[in-house]
Amino acid sequence: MKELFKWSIIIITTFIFLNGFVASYNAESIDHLDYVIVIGVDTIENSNNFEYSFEFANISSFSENASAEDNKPIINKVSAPSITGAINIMNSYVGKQINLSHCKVIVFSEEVAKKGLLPEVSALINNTQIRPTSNVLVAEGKASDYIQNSTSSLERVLTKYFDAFPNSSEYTGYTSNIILGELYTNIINKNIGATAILGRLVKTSNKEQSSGSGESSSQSNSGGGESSSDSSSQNSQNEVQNENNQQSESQDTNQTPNQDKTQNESGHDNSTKATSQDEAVLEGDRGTENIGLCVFKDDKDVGHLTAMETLCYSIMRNDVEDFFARVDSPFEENQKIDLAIVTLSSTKINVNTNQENPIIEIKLNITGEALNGLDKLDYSKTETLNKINDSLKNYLTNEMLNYLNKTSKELKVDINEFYKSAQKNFLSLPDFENYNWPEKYQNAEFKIEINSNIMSANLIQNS
Amino acid sequence: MTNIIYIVSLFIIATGIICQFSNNSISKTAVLMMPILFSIIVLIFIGNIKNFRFENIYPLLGTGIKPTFFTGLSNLFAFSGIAYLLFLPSKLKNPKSFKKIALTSVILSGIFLLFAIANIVFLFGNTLSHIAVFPLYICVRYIEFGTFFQRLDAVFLFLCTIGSISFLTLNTYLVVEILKDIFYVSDNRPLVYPYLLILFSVALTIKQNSVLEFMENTVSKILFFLIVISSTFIVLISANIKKNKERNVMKN
Repeated sequence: MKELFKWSIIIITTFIFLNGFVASYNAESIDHLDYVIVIGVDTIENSNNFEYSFEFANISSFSENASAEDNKPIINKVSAPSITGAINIMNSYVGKQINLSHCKVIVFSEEVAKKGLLPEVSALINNTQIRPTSNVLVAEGKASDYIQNSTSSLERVLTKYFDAFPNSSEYTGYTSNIILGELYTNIINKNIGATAILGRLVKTSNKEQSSGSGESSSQSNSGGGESSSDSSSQNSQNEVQNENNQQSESQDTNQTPNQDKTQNESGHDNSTKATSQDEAVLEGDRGTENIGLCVFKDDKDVGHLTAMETLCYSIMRNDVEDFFARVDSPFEENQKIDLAIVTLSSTKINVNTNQENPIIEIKLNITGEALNGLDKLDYSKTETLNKINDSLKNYLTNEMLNYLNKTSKELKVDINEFYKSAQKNFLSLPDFENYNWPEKYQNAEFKIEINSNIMSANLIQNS
Repeated sequence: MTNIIYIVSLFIIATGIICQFSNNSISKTAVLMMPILFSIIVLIFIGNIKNFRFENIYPLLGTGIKPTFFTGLSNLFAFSGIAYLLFLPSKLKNPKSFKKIALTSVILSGIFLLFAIANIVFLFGNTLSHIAVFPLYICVRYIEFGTFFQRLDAVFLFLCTIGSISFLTLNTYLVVEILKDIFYVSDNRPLVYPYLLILFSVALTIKQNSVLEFMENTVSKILFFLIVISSTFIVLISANIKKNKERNVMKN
C-alpha cells in the first residue's frame, strides 16, 4: 500500500511537471514571442477606431555584427476599437505571440489625448504584462510618426534608447520621467491633474518624414501585398498595415548623421520656450525631441508646458537635481550670466487653508556657481555675489509664479499635488472634500521664498 | 493561461507531501519561509521608497472617526492569524513558553501588516480601489534596482506561492488534528488525503472572484469574530469561573 502510494505521488508529480515544462516548447516559449518596445495610439478620421502602432525589438540588431539594415525599426499598425482588440489582431497577424512585458513607452497622439486617455490607460494598467513604470508620452502630430523617427545613431539598441530618453529630466528639468502608474493614479484622482511627457518631431526631420512616410506607405501597398492600408475601409473592418523596415531611403541620404546643432544663436532662451513644432530649435539625426509636458484635467489634454515651465514643475516635485539658469546681469544692461544651479534640499511646501482661498508657500534652498563673466567680475566680493543672488531669485520667482498662475488660472489643475500638503490641515477625507480643493486651487495665492547661495566657479583660484 | 487544475494540484500535492512527513517538517517549512517572506516585504518597502509619497498618510483619520474606529473594527480580521495560537499550547514541548511565543507571533504579524499596508498607502494613497490586480504585486512591479534588477515580480510570486503552501500545510495539519480527535483515530496521516481531495474539489467549484471576496470579506470576518474573539473571551471567563470555584472548594 505504501509503495503504491509512493509511486502514485511520483507519477502524478512527474505528469504535472512534464506538462509544466511542455510550455517551453509551445506558443509561450521565448522563441515564439515578439517583444513590443513601444505602443503608439492615433485617431482615425471619421472612425471610432484607433490606429495602434507596435514597434518590435529586432533581436538581430543586438548582435555586434548587426548591419545598419538591422537597426531599422519594425513597426506594425492595426486599426481597432481598443488596445485589447489591437493586441488580439496583432497576435494573429505577426504569427508569434506578442509580449508587452518589455514595453518601454506608450505614445498617444495629441488628438487621442484630447479625446481622453482613461479607457486606454485603464486597460493598460490592468494588463499584467505592461509595467507601471513604462513611460507615457503625448506626441504632437501622429504617434506613429513619432515612433518611426525615434532612433538615434548615438544609441542603436532600441530598448536602451527608450530606457535612457527620460534620464535628462534629472539634470535639465526640461522634461519629466512620467510613468504609466503615476498617470493612471493622477487621472482617477479628482483633486489633481495628470501630466505626460511631451514629444514632437524635430523641425527638419518632420518635413522629410511627411514625404518619407507617404512614400513608404505606397511602397507597402504596392509591394509584397502582405497587408493593405485602405483608409476608406478602415471604418468597417480592422486592418493591419505592415511598415516593417520602412524608413525611407531619401531620409537616410538627406540626413547627415551625428550633426546636432541649434538653429538659433541664442538657442538656450528659445529652446526653453519651445512648445510646438514651429518653435522647435533642434536639428539632427534623432528625429524627435522630448521637451515639455502635456497637462491633463481628468483624462483630457488641456494644455502644454514649455521647457521652462517643466523645469519649475520638476523643481517643486524635487525631480531635478541640477540645472542651468541664464539670468540678467545686475552689472551690465542686456548682458546675461549663466549659472549652474544645484538644489540643496527638497522643496518645502506649506498650504494655508484657513483663508477663503488657499495660500501656498514654496521654499527653495539652492546653491550654484557662475559660469561666465569671470573676466569682468570679482566673485570673491560678497556684494557681487549678493547682486547675482538677487537676480537669480527674481528670475526664478518670476518664472515660478508664471508657471503656477498658468496651471491654476489657465489650466485650472493642480499638477504639483499641493492638495497633499493641504490635506494635512484636515482630519478626515469628507472634511477635505467639503473644502472643494479643485475649485479653491484656481484662486490660490502663491508665495515663493528662495534661499540661494551663488559662488564663483573659480573662487579658490581667485582668493 | 495555465489550467486552474494544475495550479491547485501544485498546492495540494506539495501540502500532501509535507503533511505526510512528521510534524517537524511543517514547523521547519514555516521557519524556513518566515524570514524569506519577511525579507521580501521589507525589500519591497526599501525598493519602493523612492516612489513613496509620505503625504499620502493624510488626512490622519482617513474617511472619518466612525468609519475608522467603529465600522472599521472588522478590519481586525487582518489579525486572524492569532487563531492558530489557540491550538498551540498542547503541541508545545514547553507550554510555559506559550506567552513568549504568542507575543512574538502577534508582533511579527503586526510588522508584516505594517510594512504591507505602508507600501500600499505610501505608493497609492486612497486611489487604489480602481485597480483589479493584487495591490502588493503592483507595488513589486514598481521596483527597479538600476537596470539589472527590474523584474522582481516573478520572484515575489514564487515566494508567495511557497509561503501559501506553508500556510496551507499548517491549516491542513490543524484540521486533520481536529478530525483525529473527533474520530478517535490514532494516526492522522490517512486523513490528510481525503481532506485535501475535498479541498481540491471545493477550490475548483469556485469560479468567480466575487465568491472569494464574499468568503474573505464577509464570511471569514464573521467567523473570526464568532470563533476567535468570542470563543477566546468565553474560554477566559469560563476558566476564571472554574478557577474561582476550585479556590472556594479548596478554602472550604
